[in-house]
Amino acid sequence: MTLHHPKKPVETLTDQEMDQLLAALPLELPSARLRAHVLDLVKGPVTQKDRWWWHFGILWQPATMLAGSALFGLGLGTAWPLDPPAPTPIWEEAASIVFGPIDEEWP
Amino acid sequence: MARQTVGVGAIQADASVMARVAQQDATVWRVLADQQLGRVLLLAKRMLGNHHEAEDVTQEAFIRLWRQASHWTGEARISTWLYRVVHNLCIDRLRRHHGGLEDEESMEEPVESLFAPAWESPLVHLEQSEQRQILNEAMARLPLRHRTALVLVYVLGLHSAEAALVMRIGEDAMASLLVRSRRRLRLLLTPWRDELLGK
Repeated sequence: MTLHHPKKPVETLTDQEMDQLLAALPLELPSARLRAHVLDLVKGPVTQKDRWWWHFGILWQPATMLAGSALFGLGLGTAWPLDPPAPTPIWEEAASIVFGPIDEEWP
Repeated sequence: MARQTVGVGAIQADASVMARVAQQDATVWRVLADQQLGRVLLLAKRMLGNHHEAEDVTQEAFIRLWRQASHWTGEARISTWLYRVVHNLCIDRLRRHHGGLEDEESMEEPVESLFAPAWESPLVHLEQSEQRQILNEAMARLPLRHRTALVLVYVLGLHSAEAALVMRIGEDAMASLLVRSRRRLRLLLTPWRDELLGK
């Protein structure tokens, strides 16, 4: 709907009239769906979960990954033998990758 | 409407409300939602101009409030915090989905041309009184910053210092913005003064 400008001289609105008009604007009525969604938040486990993870903020996933990797490395380090295996010539490794195990005998 | 003042007592009272919310007190949460839903929705709708989008933003703001409950620092009122979140969400949404924010200075149009149809559907218009319709359309024709400032201070009743906090501008800038906003709204509404005042 288009409002047509009334071509007639009128007085300017006073500050008080403006205030009254603005204050009379009604609040919006939330839909039942929105209200239900908001009220249902109290039933969810969001707060409990956030309480656990909050210290990491949005970085809780990468922080957990780092911590997990560090623990895994620590475990691996303690379980691995201290003496490293005898070094294998690089060409032998490369050849074994390309051609298969080189110590196999030909038929 | 009496404007809210930034009182320490009110902030402390809100902090105790949030402490109860953090303990998953359903009654307190329901009261808080009933107090703030319509107000938050009004700000979002005035900023976005779309009821459905305004409801999405309102829901997101309340989810954030809920998550914030156990970490509430008590530095602001709940309402101010909510309006600030809604303001930021609306700005983000307008930037992403509506091709950026409107240029305030580009809207210096003659008064007559500002009364083209607004976003509202005819059904909505039928449901509204003429007075409210004129006011709604005039508000809709204001630049985003102008209508946001007017809604925060004159409709939702925030103190201008709180409104400045919500809009992330200085208090002097807010005072100047309010003067410009009122001047422009007065320009739009004056031709309908008699209709608006029921004369």
